[in-house]
Amino acid sequence: MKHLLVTLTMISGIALSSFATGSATENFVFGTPEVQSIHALTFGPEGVLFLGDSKAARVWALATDDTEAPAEMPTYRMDNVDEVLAAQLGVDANEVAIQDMAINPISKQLYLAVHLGDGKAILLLYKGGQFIPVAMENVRYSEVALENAVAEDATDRRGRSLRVWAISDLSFANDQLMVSGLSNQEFASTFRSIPFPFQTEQQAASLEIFHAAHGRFETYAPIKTFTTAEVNGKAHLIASYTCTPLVVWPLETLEPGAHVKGRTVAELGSNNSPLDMVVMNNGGERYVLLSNTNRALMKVALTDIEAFEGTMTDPVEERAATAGTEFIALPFVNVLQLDKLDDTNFVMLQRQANGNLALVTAGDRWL
Amino acid sequence: MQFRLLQNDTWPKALLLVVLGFFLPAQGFCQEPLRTSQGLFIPTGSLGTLLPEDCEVARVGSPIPAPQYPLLGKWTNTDSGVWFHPTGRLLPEATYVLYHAGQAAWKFPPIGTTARTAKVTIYPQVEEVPQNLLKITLVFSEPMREGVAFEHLHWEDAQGNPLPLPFLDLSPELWNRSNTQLTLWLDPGRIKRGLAPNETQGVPLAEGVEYVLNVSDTWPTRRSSRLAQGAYIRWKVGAPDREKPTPEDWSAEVPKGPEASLAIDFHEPMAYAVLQDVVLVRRHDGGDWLSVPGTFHISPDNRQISFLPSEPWAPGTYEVLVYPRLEDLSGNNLYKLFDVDLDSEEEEEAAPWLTTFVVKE
Repeated sequence: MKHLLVTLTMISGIALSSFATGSATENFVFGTPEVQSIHALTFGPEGVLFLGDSKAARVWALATDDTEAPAEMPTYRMDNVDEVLAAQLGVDANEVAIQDMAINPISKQLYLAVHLGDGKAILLLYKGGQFIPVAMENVRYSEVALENAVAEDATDRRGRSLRVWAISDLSFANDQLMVSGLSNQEFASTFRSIPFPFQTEQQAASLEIFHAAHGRFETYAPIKTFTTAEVNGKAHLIASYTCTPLVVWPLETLEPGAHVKGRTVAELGSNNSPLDMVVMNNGGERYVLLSNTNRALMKVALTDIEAFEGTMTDPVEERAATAGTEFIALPFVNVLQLDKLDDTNFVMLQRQANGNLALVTAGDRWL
Repeated sequence: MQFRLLQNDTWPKALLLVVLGFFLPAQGFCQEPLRTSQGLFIPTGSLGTLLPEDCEVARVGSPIPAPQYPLLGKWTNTDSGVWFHPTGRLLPEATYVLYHAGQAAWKFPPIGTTARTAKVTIYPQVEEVPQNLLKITLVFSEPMREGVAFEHLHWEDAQGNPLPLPFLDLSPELWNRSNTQLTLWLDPGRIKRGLAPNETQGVPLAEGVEYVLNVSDTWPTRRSSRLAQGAYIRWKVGAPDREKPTPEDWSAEVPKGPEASLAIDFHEPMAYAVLQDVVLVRRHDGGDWLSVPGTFHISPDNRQISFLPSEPWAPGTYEVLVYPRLEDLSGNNLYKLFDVDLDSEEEEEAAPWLTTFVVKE
């Protein structure tokens, strides 16, 4: 039996039925969240924007109140995004590090998280051909700490571990905020599933997941990006790793303390790292779109993932070769950020061949 | 106050401007617009009647100049004038122009370049590393810019020929909270035997070969454009380490006086990033064990860690614990080997390594 071992951490909340019927933001507080970094963004219900803050070891939930559906579907198109941002932020373009992009599923408005060279974290909203700052002072927000996953540890004299969990991705589904991250100390990948609205009492547990893979030895491989989708009638986690296997787990099996086997359904080639993943739906045909560092935007049919039985066990012999579920390489390379506008339209931040960093909208002709 | 500051020419100019920016507008002495590290201040009357809604700021040399994309920021009216606080930041070496009603109204010159003072140290500082070296640590003397590591790291063979970086390209990079310490992983998928990257690309380091890691001084810090000095290290690659650390070989040197250090010798180099977080010194205080505050120091070769308490050692019984997640250079901890066949070996139970000593009255 060949295994790849991944450690995931699940924080299970204590169910409070009062949240079931109220607004998602009714337990939010008014004030100024002390945001130190924004490494990942994703939207939840009612225009709630989650900010993954590795430096503060927190996820902030921001009530954007951006809940009005657009009169018509926007089309995003902008050239030289990095230069526009540099001009608007007063710095050189090479100082603007775009961390993540998210589109509000209700309003279809586009948000960017940006870090400047001095570490300043800025949240921006695309508006009328330029960007405007999103207020993070005197706002309604909620927060959850990510530090209580360590069972046994030495701590500094303030009682806090020096360990940092670098947040690689966030996703929201089924009233759960899911967070993937990697320790800055040992090679330990974590995956947390946190009930939302955030609750004051949480139980932390370690969840170890085995997934059969392409070799004989275990690894605590870091999840780079992930999403959720229904596979064979059940909600699944679809994750891609820095070493690019595509792995699926039924969400219902991810319970604290469990050892769960995932299925490796594709090997997407070495010398590459996945960046973003979304699920599209074109007339009932569903596809996973996956952007990459060194490969074109990939399209994988969910029916192919559903039809792929068992798990990959044979190593890929040839350098940079791919195996398992088939995919189509779409003619979009260097897609640095990806999010869906609706089921058939998606928005990319793409470094084009002439160096132009462009915001591009693409539609169902590619699905 | 102002006189004393002007007499002391060792004060940085930028700090002086901040102080002046704080005092002068409030007292109404300043007649000209002023630039501070926080923003721009236009005293009442200095530029005639100024309506913030008609004002824009742009950086000279910006790729897309105003008025198309002026600086984002907040305009605030005060009794003494108008403040502009940028959403981004003002670069010390850049010039910014205030536009009023579309016309250039004032030019804010640079406030100088920031002195380069940052240095970097590469760990482990050893001559030989195991063939399955898992990670290295860079420690900087001041907070660094994040997300650009691969632009400023260079991996070479012994003859100085460039080689592809052997590190895992992670985003976000693995910094500590203060951005002074970066962990770099040699690609674990290439180290673990049997995984696809290992099969197709081979191990990152070849036994018997010498490599050089260069950290270029071009790396910007959070406040200046580059390091004062880069660093390099030459490593010879030895045999792979496929053994767990052996706590029975570890030794502790207890403090020889009330203000002396405690030292633990592991007799092999350990992973810097983990080592600094797995040692706990505590004192028995009648009923409870209380963590002793103090400072840890890791030896350059990562074989030893010493601890100096903030206060002199008080009489009492002390425990020193080293938690089992401590790793050697190859990622082997007290629970398990990093590169292990799951069918043949399970993770083992492991307790913290413990030593005790008594400080007498």
